[in-house]
Amino acid sequence: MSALELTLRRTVMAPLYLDIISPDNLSGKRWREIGDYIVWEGNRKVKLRSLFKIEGEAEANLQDTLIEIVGDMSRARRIGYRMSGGVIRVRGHGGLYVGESMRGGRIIVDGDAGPWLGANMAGGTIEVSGSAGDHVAAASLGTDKGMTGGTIIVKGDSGSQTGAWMHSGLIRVSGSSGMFPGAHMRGGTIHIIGDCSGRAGANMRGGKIVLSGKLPTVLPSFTFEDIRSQTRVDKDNVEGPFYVFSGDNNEGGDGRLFIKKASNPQLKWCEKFLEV
Amino acid sequence: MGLEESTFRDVVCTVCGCCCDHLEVTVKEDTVVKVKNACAMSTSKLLNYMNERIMKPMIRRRGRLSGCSYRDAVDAAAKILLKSRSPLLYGWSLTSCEAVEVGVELAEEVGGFIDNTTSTCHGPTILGVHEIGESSSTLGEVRHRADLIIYWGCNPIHAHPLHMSRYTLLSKGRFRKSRSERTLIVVDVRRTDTAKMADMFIQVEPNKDYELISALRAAVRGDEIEQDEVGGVPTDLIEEVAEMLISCDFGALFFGLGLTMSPGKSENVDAALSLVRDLNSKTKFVIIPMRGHFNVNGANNVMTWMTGYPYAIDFTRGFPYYNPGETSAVDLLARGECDSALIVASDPVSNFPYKATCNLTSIPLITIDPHITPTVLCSDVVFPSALVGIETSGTVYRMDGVPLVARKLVEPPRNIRSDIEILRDILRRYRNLKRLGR
Repeated sequence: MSALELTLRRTVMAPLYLDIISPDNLSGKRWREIGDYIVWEGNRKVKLRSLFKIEGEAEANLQDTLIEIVGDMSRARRIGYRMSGGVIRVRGHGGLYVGESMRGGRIIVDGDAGPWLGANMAGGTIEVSGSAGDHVAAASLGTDKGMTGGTIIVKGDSGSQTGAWMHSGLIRVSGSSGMFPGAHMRGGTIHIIGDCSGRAGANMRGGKIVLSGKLPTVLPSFTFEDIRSQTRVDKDNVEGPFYVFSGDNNEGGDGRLFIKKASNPQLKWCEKFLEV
Repeated sequence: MGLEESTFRDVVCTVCGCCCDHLEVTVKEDTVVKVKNACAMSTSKLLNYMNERIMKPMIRRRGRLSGCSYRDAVDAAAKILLKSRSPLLYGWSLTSCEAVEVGVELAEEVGGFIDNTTSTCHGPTILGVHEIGESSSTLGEVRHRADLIIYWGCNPIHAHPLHMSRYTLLSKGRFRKSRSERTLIVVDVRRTDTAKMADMFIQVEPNKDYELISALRAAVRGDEIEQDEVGGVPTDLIEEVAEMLISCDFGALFFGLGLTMSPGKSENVDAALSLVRDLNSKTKFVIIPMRGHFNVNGANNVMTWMTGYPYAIDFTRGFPYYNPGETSAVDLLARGECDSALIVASDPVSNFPYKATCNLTSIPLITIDPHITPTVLCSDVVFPSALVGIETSGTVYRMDGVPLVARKLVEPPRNIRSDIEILRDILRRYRNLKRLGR
């Protein structure tokens, strides 16, 4: 697989709209043609070649296309927008809305990613070696469906509202998470291995949130169900034991919170509801 | 407006979101000499509006602000905007709706971001309303009918001094005529002066408002709460409050920055709106945000008419795009995505987060303001402007969405123009320069 390499030539001081950069748009294109593509840098239209040094070739076959982006893309938006195959690798910060509405393929970010990583994602895989901002896999403003398929793996921390309005798919965060993971969630699985700042599963109606680290408190609109020795995330068994809560009752929900017992001694009060 | 003493009645106050319209202002020799019916904040503003004024346009030369002609300032401002790839136009809450209208036109012309102070106060309220909707009313309806008032995370005695006497607890309405016919519940993290007047004060632990509202929602629906206390409030008390809410005839929930700017932000408001929605299946309940600046609601309204969105609007690609968090002023500045800024009637240098302020003061900055502020002192181009509601007239929106006309009471100082005139002149000069290709 030969790679198409885009190296940022200069510092960008304005929002950069890069939704054109996806294997679907660039596979089979010659570098000269790619360099002529127009993108918005703030309120100016610029050619891609004025921003990036373009090297290598994009494969003709979508699934074999590999795009490597080198440089600080923290002011970029929508790399990998609606992509359905191939691979994008960002060496540096990935920017905002990485992989928005993606349907297939793989995005690897060797660095941090900004907010709305994988927003409205329907398929494929995103891996972030650093941390991600708020609204990972969440619904964009004006839509009521977040992630509907695919996998997001964040090796560092994630911000608040991870998996908000999620309907299906898997999010795994190795670090800690901000508030409201799985808010308004309808389905799918979120596994947070580190600590969570709180309010997990607020307004959730379905789906599963597994918290291996500390959660300050469970919302009062959840009902304690049971203690389980382990649970399953994707194809892996995650060892517990876990306190299991169902809710959010305020929304007539039937979601499940799995909260690791060993990390959360402050939730011991719920054991009084267990049958002896 | 001459040398004779004259008294203006039913003057609209231009301080907080209450926009009290019953002031009496006496003017002599083009100076305000007496103010009646106003709160301390309003009286102070009207009697001292000439303090710390900017009296001439200024441009920064060799690191120092120095006086210049109005024409030079307009030219410099237009050139900054013309050169800019990502300009930010911010403020708009302490000026008139008519000025906001010109501001939106300018933002579209220059291809920039336009945001108002909503994004640092009740922006989460608007996001919550997007998701849930709201059951609202005018303050007049609250005054005449409400028998249960809740102030949540706000302290109107200090921030909106006449709110209680004109619209809620102490007002004389058609159907609720005295204090004894109303019940006041205050929810706050500390016993404020407003809380001291309450029939019931609920002291919630800091940043536990969402948990408490969730518990109240559960109690209103009749669900059992398994925890003994929520947010430091005993479950028995939560159930008692829920019973009070259900059994009132007309309830009104007013909330402030205690909800919108504590962790959770829009989700806190979402929960409050949901509580009121749930209550409306059992009784009549409304919810109204305690807006701060006198025309922040007007700025939201005008921007919505003109673009479809209430704040944080991105015109960089030629069409309006809205996504608070991406296109709001603090986030743009924190990421260093703006290369110039025009500030109208606001002082972001005093209240933005450190990183955003550092970036704001490192880019070319144009400020239109009547007074000397830290933002003015950091600016490259400064325009002195006339005060809306004192030196120039304009339309403003009260916190409940009622439009009022703020009148001109005195002449502005010589050569001081209104925000509208200044913005129109910048827009005209910008178009000329663009046409000439400079």
